[in-house]
Amino acid sequence: MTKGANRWQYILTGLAALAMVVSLCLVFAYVPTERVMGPVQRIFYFHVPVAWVAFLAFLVACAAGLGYLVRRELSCDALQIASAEIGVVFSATVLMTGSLWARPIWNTWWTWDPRLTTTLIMWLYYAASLMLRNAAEGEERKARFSALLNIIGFVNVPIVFLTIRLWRTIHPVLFTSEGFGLEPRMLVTLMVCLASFTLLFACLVGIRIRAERLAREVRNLQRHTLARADEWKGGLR
Amino acid sequence: MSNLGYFLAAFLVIWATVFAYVYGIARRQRNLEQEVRALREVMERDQPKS
Repeated sequence: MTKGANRWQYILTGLAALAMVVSLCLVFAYVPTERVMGPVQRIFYFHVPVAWVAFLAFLVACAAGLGYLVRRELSCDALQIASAEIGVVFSATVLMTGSLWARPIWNTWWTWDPRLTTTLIMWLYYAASLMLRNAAEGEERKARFSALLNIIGFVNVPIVFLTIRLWRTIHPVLFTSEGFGLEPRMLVTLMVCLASFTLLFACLVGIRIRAERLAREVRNLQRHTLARADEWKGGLR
Repeated sequence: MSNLGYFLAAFLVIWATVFAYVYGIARRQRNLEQEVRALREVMERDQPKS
């Protein structure tokens, strides 16, 4: 990794950390407690940004997959792996935090509501696609296979988003045609949290891409070493 | 309504997941860096002397 890229990674990490500290201060000290749900409603300021990051990650994975199929560049492949993996981590977190919010409010840990079910399907699909990628053989085939899976999988993402508008569901609708329907301090806190988690996503993508480049370097060096060993054996015969 | 415990649990879940993920990547990266160094040493050692 170049020095310039390293510097950008440090700047991004610092910004994400700073934004997170501001978000935590807002969630714990600034935002008012919701009258009906009480303190548990504060999960909202993490649950929504985490869901946003999961959607964004799958969108980036889909775009990088398309980019790979068109340009066959390894950087697109590294981006699609990084994004899909982060999307899986964040959608698992959405399911867990949603469950912790549902228990005191809906009196159940889980219900087969359309939003919850489609989110679970989305998580299972992307988790399985990461495993399938590892099962494929050859760098090029892995990348092509992964690109196709990321493009096909993205079809479910708008469905997850629209479920609460298309079907009868108990999941609340946050964005309506009339706006957010939030008290101004709640809206400010939500926006800051969304920005912080987006920065965190960018930061994680950078770290994961770096790990992927190193893994590729190891595979290349191993290939060179093996090729040289074969040459050496051939010379002995 | 006292349901602060659920909020704190959700808060912990988010940060534990993020830290576990970052720790996993950092560990993988450290192992890969070691492997790159070791492989480069092997390649340099076996370089044919001209």
